[in-house]
Amino acid sequence: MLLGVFAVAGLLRWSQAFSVAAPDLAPDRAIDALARQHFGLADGAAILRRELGTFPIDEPLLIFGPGNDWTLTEAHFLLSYLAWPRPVWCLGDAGPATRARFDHPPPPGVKPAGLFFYKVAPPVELPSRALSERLSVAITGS
Amino acid sequence: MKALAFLLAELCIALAGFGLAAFLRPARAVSRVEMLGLSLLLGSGALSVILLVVSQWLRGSALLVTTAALALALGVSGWWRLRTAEWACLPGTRLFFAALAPILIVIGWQATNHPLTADGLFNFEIRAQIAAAHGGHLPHAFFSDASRTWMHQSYPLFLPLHQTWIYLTLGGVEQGWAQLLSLHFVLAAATLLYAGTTRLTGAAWRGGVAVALLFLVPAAMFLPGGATTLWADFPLAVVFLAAVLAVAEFTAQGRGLALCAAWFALLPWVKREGLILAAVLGLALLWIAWRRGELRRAVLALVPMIGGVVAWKVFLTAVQAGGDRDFFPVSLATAIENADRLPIIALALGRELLTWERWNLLWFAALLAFLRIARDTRLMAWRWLPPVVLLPIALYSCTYLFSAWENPALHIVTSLPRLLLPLAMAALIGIAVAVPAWDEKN
Repeated sequence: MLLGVFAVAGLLRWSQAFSVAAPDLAPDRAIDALARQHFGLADGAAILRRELGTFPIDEPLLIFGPGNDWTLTEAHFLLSYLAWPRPVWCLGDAGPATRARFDHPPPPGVKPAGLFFYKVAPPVELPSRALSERLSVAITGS
Repeated sequence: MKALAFLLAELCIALAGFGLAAFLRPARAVSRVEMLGLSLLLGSGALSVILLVVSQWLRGSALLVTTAALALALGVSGWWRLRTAEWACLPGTRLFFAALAPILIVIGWQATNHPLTADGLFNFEIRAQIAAAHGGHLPHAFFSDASRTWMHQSYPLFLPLHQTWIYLTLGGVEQGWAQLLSLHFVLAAATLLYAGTTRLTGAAWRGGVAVALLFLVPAAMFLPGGATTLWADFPLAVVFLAAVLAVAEFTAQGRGLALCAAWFALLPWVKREGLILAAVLGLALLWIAWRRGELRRAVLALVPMIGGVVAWKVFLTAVQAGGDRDFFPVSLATAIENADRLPIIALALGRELLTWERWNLLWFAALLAFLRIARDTRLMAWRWLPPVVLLPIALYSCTYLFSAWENPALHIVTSLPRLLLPLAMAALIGIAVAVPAWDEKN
């Protein structure tokens, strides 16, 4: 009896989780999916690799975004994934005198060669380029 | 072409594992079903270690050829050793594979239409991607990169090196193909569970029940940490399952210590919490061996695990690996200071065990099974199993006293379900051995 209920409940959960989407064996499928989800970029892995490739491999980069938005973490991880071996730091904006919950700030003295702005607008005085509605890049040339 | 390369990569792993299994197998006839499971799982361990060692000197094609040659050499030596060995006949094998085939197709399908996420991508696959970019070698700079401490650089490399091997064979990063490794571990789990339970209980239907229940536990299949998501939790669960079956064989027949030693050594190499599992199961083994008067042999079975853990610590120190930010150092003062978390932990644990959407009725069935094991003298040989499931749950819960997360409740919610997965595997064995037979019930 118990095993019967076990079987029915298990099959019910399988039916809820089952996806009929076709298999996708693309090389960058996970990165593309996250880039689409967080940055609104189609073919995101290729675009981000191209952008990140313009920075010297020993120069640090920084992503700036809303510090209490957990997706900033994944945005940071995603850039870091593709930017290897460049160090990628993350600075979260949580308002005045408030510590950001989701960031990984650089130690003092780090001068990033490039700044990525996620879900925040870059300062007007900084020349920048929008990669999507949610992501812009600025080259500081430090 | 990629499919062929993937199959060749898997064949190398299976060959390496076959060679090891031939030398480590218990002194009895092994069934082909069991040998398949042993080959897949031992092969993953062997190949990850070979790749880690050889990649310190060789890169790219040289690394690929040398690793494949070593796997082939292991396979050939295993075949030589088993050339005159008898194979055991496992009842119900054809029916088992006939039922398993469509399930594997579904698992493969779901694995390839759900991309890697979270830990699967940013803690494990990322290491394979970086290693692939360096000809199969994970640069030492990775371990000490202060900007990447969130990757938990001290995590062991069992799964990432398995993925690295796939990337080396396929000629580059192939996240879609890497996710098909889900099938590797599901096949290993199903074959070991079926062969082990059937052999130990003498009833093929009990083996079938164990495997059927495995596929009906959502947390083990498609939820974060489950088989299709390809985080390290499911591989850890499969190795723990294999270790539990090996200890069960030692309990019942006094053999299989070499396999116990291999699984104990592999547990902390798959995931750090594998050390807790190995320690608890090791204690159970020592207790059983002491009662059998074979304590010295059992102590020796723990030596490879201790050696492996020490070697990994030495390696991490040498490469100046980043520290762990998730936990405070363990101390009595911290435990006392955070004792007010105990009700939160207990509540979260109780809630988790009762979440049928993740566990189905597994823990309820396990409770009934453990009660039967405790009361039924015919199941006396399995009385070590309930503590092996329950003690790690208690230990895992206590680790949250040392959580460095700002919100420990969030830490519990995000990690506890995955910590329970290996214990769920052991619980499945308990359920399968304790479920009353139809004629017994009537």
